[in-house]
Amino acid sequence: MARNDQLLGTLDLLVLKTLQQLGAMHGYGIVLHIQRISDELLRVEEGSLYPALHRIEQQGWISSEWRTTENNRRAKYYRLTAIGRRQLAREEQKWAELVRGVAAVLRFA
Amino acid sequence: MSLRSRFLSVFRSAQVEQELEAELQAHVEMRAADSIDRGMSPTEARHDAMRRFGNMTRAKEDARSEDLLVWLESLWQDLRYGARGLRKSPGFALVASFTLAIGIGANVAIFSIVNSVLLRPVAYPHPEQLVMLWSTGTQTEKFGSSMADIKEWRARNHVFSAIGSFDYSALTLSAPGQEPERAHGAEVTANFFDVLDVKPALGRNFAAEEEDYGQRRVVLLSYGLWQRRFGGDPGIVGRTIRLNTFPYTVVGVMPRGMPFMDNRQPADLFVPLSYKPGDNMATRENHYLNVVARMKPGVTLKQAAAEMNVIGGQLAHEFPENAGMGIKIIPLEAELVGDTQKTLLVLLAAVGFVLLIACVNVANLMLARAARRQREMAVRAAIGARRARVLRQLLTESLLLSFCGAVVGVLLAFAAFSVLRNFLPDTLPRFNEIAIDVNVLLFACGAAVVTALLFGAAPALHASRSDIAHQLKETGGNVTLDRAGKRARSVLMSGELALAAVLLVCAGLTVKSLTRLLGVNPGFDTRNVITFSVPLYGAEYGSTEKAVQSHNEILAQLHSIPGVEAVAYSTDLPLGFGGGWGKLVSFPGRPAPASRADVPSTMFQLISAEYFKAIGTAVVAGRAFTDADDATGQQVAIVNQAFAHKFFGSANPVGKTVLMDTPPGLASTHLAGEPQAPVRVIVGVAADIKDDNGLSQPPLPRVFVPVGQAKGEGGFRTGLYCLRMQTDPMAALASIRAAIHEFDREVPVVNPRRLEELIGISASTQRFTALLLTLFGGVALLMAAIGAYGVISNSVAYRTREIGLRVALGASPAGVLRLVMGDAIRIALVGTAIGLLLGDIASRGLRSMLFEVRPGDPLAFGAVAVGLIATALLASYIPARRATRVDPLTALRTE
Repeated sequence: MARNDQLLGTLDLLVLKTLQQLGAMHGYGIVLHIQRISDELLRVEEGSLYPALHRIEQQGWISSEWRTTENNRRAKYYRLTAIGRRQLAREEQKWAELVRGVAAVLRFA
Repeated sequence: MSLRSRFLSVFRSAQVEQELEAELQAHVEMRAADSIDRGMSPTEARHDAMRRFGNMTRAKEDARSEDLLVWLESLWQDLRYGARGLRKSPGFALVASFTLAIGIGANVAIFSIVNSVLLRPVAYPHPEQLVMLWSTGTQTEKFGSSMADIKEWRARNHVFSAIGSFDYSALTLSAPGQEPERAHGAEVTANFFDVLDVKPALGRNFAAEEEDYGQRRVVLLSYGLWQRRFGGDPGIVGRTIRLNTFPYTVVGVMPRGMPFMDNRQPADLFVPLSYKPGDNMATRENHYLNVVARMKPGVTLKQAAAEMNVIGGQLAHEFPENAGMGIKIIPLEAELVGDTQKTLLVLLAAVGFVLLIACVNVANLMLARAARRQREMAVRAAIGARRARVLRQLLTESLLLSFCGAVVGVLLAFAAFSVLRNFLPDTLPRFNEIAIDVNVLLFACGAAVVTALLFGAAPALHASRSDIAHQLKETGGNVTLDRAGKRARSVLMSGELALAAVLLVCAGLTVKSLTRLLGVNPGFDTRNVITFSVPLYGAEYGSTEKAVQSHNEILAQLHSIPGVEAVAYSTDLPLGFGGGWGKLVSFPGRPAPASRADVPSTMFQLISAEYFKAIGTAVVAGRAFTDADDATGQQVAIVNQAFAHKFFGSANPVGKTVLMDTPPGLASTHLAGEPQAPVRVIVGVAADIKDDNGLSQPPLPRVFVPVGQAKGEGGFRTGLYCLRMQTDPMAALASIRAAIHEFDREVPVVNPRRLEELIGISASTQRFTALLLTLFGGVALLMAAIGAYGVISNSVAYRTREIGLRVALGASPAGVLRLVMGDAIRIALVGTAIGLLLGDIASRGLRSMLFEVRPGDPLAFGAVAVGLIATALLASYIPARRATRVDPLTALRTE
């Protein structure tokens, strides 16, 4: 699978949103969720996901803990923090503005 | 992630690594499991999962670098921002970091001493297992032990893996065509270095049979002597060198840098401790050996002490010579530190005060700067900087400053140390191990961080709390200072003066104590007297009689040197520099004590006829010795005043008799086959001479006996000489060497020095303490002056408009001066008063270090109060003067 470069700028937003929707989830679950919800349109590169998770955790937007999955496997679960929720709101707004802006340019005839 | 876990992620990278590994592993397994559910073969599924991941190592590295990078990046931002801020005000940066450099540098210098002397473990393997064993008696707290006792301890104990012992010793090292040299070292039992667990760098340790008499002509060299005297000759082992004119075979060279006990005395070489059959030194009487033992693994100090207690009791019961004696056990490390601990801790506390003062000064500067930057902070807050972020940025700036200070400080400490080295007290153990090592550098870093928090926290909190709206509304670019900031600075200023006062009080007390100590009458006259020792160890000086005869010949030679007023030799020197010789004493005709443990002891010294004249001590009753007091004449003694007072009270002891032995009826100290001590008639009383007890304490009772009547009193070989000249005695050193050279080419002149040097060395700890405390006090005073200047000149700048208005309304220069100085006086009075109160408490901790000065000495306190207030007022006067010259027009226009 080719690197999905267009995702890079929006990966943070996708991860934060996913965690808002799912509550606590591990990395693999985040990948599956984004893939499924986007009807396979968006595929998160594992190689970019984990650096992103760690960076976001550093910013204090998410926190992590080790838990057991339904299949009795140990995995690291991430969840949104209060700061993360505020950040998500900002990112969503930024995204909406971007989409509006780009759409306006495209619509210009 | 919290700051803490971020630190951990930097330092505990192994654990982070594992966690990351596990996280990615879990991911791969979950995907593989899903694929298998969808019908893929397990191998294929696993392969696919791995492939999707791309490069696993790369992913891990990327994830890991995010942890550090984000943190480092923002740190780097703060640092750059801080550096830019400091560059913009170079005056502030320079003054602040230099102040901190002095504070941190002084701390690093003192800490490097504390580190080597108190903290660094003794450089032997498992030093915690090593202990020293001492004999105790009814009259003396602890003293050396006898070989006979040590043998019993070895046979009876179960707690030590080995017991070794040593005696400091010096041997004359000679070689054809070379100046003979006195090499210091020790006689050690063959197992001694096995007890310490030190192996020679070359050759071998002593073998057990080398303790046997006749086998003992073997020597271990120190690394230093091997390098210095033998040019590091790799073939030294097996070679023969001349010691005390006898040939000794070198069996080994000890490792480089091996410390020997407290390292106070040089240890150039080691020879086996051995006794010829029937040697007086090997008897149960001769308590002179230092004992070092290694506890078996798992044995506690308590267990060892309990067992030695039992053994001591057994010996006291079994041997009459051991009546009243016991055994004391002291961990080697505690023993080596001795009583220097207190001095060093006092100095460390004092130097900590200096750093605190430096912090206060810098905090003051920061507050002033914060006032100037309030608008900047307000702007930052207005555009959305969180308070924590601003706080962190300000603290980073403080850290930057204090690390600059620490770097310069460590360099200063290096420089200071090369000077300080010359003033280190001679009583300081392990002084030659002092170095700036990793511990010291860590300490410097720690000091920098603590310092930054101390001086940075308050100003940072203060600055970051600024009220945005209020600040932005303030007009003009003038210096502003809000009320709270001004009060904070006054409080800091008072605190600084108080700290300086505490230091100055302590410095004043120790200086006064030192002057008192050096002003004590030592009991001898130091002017133009040189002392040195002449050891006679060749085969031709085989007996005490021959040694006395030879020393008398040397004496005659020395007498012929022009300008000699008096010359004498003896077995001891004042102030404990001769080592001291104790004996039991009894008084014929008086009832004998019930047991040997109750027989009193006294110091003992053999002297030649002119001794008192040479050393400049008065014979206050009776007569001095003459050359007629020889073996054939009446056996005589002179006692000191302490002896006369203790044993004769107010009666005149002249004409009374003494015996340097136990009274008849109790086990004698003399050896079978040797002459008995004679009964002596006291012919004179000499004024007290300060002795092993030091300058501050009264001397011990002492008996002097003429060298010509040494028979029956034990032997000696080394003569300790005193030579009184008409002029500078050191000028005669060449003649002295020539005279002794003429007598015997293989005899060295050891330790030539002026008599007053002994006083200097004896007071060196007090001198060191007084010097450093004075230095610290001076620095504190200087910083307080700078601080006062800063506070007042800032307050003047703040009030320029007000002052201008007052002047415009007709205030006189004197009135303005009063207005400004009023602040300074209030601050100085409050600070000094608090400081004197604290100083009173602090100085009580010094009590045991003071001589003839009470902790609350009014002179010291008065001088400090006057000096400190005067300094603070003087420093404030300069900016206050400036205030009187404020031009009302300019002042009012600037707003």
